[in-house]
Amino acid sequence: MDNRGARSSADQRSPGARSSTDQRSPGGRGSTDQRFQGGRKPFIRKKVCRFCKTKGLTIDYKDAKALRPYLTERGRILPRRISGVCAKHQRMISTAIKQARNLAIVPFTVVSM
Amino acid sequence: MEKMYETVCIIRADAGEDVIKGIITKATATVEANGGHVVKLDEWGRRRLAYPIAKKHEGYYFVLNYKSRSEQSKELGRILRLNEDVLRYQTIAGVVGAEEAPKAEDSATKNEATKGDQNG
Repeated sequence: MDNRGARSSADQRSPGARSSTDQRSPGGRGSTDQRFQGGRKPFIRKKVCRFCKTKGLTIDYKDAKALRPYLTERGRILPRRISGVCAKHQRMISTAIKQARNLAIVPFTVVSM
Repeated sequence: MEKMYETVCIIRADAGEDVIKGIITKATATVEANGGHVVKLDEWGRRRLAYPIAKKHEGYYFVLNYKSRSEQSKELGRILRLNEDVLRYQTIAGVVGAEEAPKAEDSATKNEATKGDQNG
């Protein structure tokens, strides 16, 4: 009983405590406040690999439409830093593109007009 | 040891209909000749090539999924290589039949480079 009471009171207190630290956080540098500080910084979207996020999403070398997002206009393989794909899936994509190139599904190069 | 194989083959589009059919039946027969079996035969039909092969801009594609030993796969490769009407073929081993898996094309990526690609 005592335990439960203590827990509930802590729960009630915590939202208020959190908001106060949140307001103070830009000045202070407490170890527990750091994650709230993070929220105040300009928000940068972290790219998440689509293939890791969606289970069952496969990379198929026969599907030209699916490979298109990972090619530049000139037909080069898009770097990972732009597509945001993880290393493992980038490897799979690059092999798939190379296989598709052999079968003339995807071009090696696109010569500009 | 039996393995899954996937062979994609491009035949000259200007070859006759019976020539194309002949190559496909010969390919399936080769696989099944010595105990292998065809899981799936997918004919894409006439398709534009991404770049010209042997001065041709079109090709007749078909995909053959089969389970066999490596000898049959090699034999199929030999037959396709010797055929003059076959522009190109590619065999990939150990392909798991992922027919039901959703395709990557359904959801578009959000990066700017691809947007530029689509617009330009």
